[in-house]
Amino acid sequence: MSSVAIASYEVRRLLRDRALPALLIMLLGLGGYAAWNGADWVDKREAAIALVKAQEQQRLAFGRKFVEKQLLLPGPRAVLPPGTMAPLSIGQADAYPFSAETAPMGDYTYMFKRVWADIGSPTVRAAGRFDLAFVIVFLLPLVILAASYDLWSRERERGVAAMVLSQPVAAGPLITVKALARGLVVVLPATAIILVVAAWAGARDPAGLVALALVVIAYGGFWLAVVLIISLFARRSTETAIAAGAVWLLVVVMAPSLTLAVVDLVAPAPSEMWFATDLKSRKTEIVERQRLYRAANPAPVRTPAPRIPDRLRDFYADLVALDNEIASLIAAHQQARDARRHLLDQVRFLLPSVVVQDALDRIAGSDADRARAFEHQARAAQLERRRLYKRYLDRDVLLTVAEYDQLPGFRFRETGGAFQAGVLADLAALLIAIALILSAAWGLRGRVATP
Amino acid sequence: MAEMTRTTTHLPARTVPVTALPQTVGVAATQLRLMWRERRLFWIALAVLLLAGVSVATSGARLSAQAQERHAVAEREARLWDSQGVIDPHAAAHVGRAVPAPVRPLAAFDPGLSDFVGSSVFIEGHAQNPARHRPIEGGTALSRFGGFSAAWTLQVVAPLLIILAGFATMSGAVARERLRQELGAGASVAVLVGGRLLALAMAAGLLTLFMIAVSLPAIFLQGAGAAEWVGLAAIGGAYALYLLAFCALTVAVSGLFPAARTALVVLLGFWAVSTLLVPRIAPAIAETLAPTPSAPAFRAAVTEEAKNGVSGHDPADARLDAVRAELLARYEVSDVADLPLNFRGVALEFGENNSTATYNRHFEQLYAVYRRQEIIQRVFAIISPTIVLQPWSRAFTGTDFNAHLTYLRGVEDYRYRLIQTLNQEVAANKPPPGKRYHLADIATITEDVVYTPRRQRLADVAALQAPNLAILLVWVVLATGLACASALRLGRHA
Repeated sequence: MSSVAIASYEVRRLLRDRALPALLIMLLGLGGYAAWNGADWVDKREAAIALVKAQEQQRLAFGRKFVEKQLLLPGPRAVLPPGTMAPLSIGQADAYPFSAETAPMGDYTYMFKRVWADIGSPTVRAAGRFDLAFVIVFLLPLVILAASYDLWSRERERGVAAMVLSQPVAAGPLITVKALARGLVVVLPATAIILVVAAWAGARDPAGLVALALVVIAYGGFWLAVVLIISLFARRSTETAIAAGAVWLLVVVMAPSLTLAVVDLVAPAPSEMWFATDLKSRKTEIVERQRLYRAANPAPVRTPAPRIPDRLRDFYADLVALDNEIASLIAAHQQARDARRHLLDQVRFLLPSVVVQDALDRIAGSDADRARAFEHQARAAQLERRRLYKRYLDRDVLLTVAEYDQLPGFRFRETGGAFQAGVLADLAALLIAIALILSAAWGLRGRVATP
Repeated sequence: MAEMTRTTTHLPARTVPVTALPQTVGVAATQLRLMWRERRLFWIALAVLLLAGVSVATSGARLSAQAQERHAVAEREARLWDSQGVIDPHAAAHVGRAVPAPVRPLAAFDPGLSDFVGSSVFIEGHAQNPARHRPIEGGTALSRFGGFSAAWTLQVVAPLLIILAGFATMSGAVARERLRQELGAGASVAVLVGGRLLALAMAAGLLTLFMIAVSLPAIFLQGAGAAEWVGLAAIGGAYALYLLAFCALTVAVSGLFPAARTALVVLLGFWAVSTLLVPRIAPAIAETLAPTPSAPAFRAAVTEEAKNGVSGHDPADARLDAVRAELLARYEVSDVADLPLNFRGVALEFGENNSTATYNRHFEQLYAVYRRQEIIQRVFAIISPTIVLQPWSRAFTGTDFNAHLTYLRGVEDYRYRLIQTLNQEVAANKPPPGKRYHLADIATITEDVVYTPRRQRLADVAALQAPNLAILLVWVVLATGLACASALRLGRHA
């Protein structure tokens, strides 16, 4: 019996199953709504960014009146635009700031002090976003399991397993071909549905769509491998269904959640509350010391008086000194945050569902690394503007209106892409997981023949 | 059982009245024995219980650390505030201070929204800041998978276990054959169905009790008081009702479908939709139908209204001019410098009053949107009892938005009193000659302004949650009704 014959029989059998179209239609409906949700989120985020930019323009227009009277050098309002594949996953986009104030004379804490990232209902946030990533990570496995759970148990239940195996066909290739046929009939249409709804929602970057397809197929392959190994053990379809449900609950819900709880315990997030109070305390101390020093050592009055008053130079010097003094405190806190994030990033490789969520976040540009890159770039923009401010102080000249009008704005530089290292690592982790399951299944292939 | 129901034909004839209750208990005992023999389910339940125990323990440890941290922050903030010394009181308003949120002991059982609401509010003059430092911030993809807790186990996993334990009690060839034999022996169908329901309910009740029991040490360690114990009793009762509804539905479906596989598919479908899908889709739909404004839009609206009034044509500057004119007229002077009070303080008081009223109005509008979203979500209780159980559980653990709102309102009340005390100090004291500002010792002038944490009264919580309890009861009644209908149908077919 050839592999093609087995596969074509399996495909025909599946196509006759009325449950499959129902499952795919359900996936289309839920995926469509999730993609629309993602697109709606992108629209709202873009509207918020447009408002931030409009406010910046108003501020610049207002400041223009004072340019020739005082040293006025506003920082650009930094914003993180949604990625080209943003409707796919909202990911961590709500958990990090998407705009920053980069006033040159503000310290590090000033960047996000007045920025409110998200005021959505906590009840809604706690439920989790219903985006395409949720459909892929949580619901797609259920569709695959529902369509494939009786991969071999049906033959066993009907007593035809022994008859099939009495044909000139090896057990291993038989069940592998059956699983591949299921993949063809279930995973490929599901992937097509996901690609179509993603593109419909505005996620149309070709490289992003290719990466999305690869991730969905690999994840589908993982669940088919799970079905395959369950089929080697379970005798009845009911047992297979229960086992498949239990594995889904473990892989998608419990293992990630418990891993997170363990990480929280082993490497808790550094306290933001304590850091804020610590920083405030340290800043108060430094500013008071600087005030006393300035009071005791007033700057000599220069004649003729410089165009830019010397108190601004003192202010600048104090700010730089303050920044230098608090730098170690900030660095230590960021190091602790990064260490925890690194640990969370590393443990994801043990959890297939998290690997997929991570890959989708990265493809969509809603991952933590992109958000951190934005923070770094905003800080760099602030420091760059501060250096420019210093140059004007040194030259003792004010900006001209033309210079003011031509001040560069902030533009986020993308750091990754659809096939960034993180996505490739996620795909590799999935493939390794599939390989491990298939190796175990190969070792147990003799169980196929067990009635 | 046959012995119990059979009447003897010996003379003299004597009828032994046998009530249905002992028979039902007998059937339940048999069912429990059958369940006990199905060890796989027992092991799954034990594993789940163990995992929930681990979750509660880790959650308890985290809560203890949080409580210590917040206590330390509150003390340090108080020290920083008092150590400002003699300065311009309005400068102190800009220094501000952070007020940490309380840690709820029952959060070890149900963390609710704890990770999604800010853990402290930074209070200062001119602005009402939202709570900051949400634990959910700064994570990675794994952070999206949080939420496993004892409460979640009872909401999602326990119904699944009930379904797995009960779907084949009356469906499937073996179960139907046994049922026929029992009916043939004279047992009433109501007793047989009731016994099965009782057995499932007892198993579910045991699971609930164990789940609450594993949470007790962590709750006790957080220093739970009488309110927490009452809350826990309310939570336990609601979970019992919720699981009872699932037990009744499971028995009903098992009775309605002869094939065990069909019964399983129907019940698993209902489980997936009601415990996983609807609790995720309902909030998304609620947000679509009652959208919250974006943070920048909210701030822009507040700023605009604080500047130009509610109508947009009532500038704050003009209103302040009217205050100035009224004062000048009252004291019969032509310059604010000649007033017996410091007009800067008056202006600050006016400004604070104006901005606070504006912020309050906008925040109340925002909370009204949240409430509309909750009402929309409640509509989905038609297909999911989980939708009403979740808010009940969160409310009585003190981890819902209303509990957070009580904290926010308490902090705002404190902020307003504190800032206006500083402003009144400015208003009451003109700067000394040659000086720009009046200086005062901040610790002394604000020592009577104390922050007292507020908490919701249980009666208020119960009143707010009454609709959810009513819906849960309707679910129980309907599910039990369906089980009765299933019993009647079985009786007719038998």
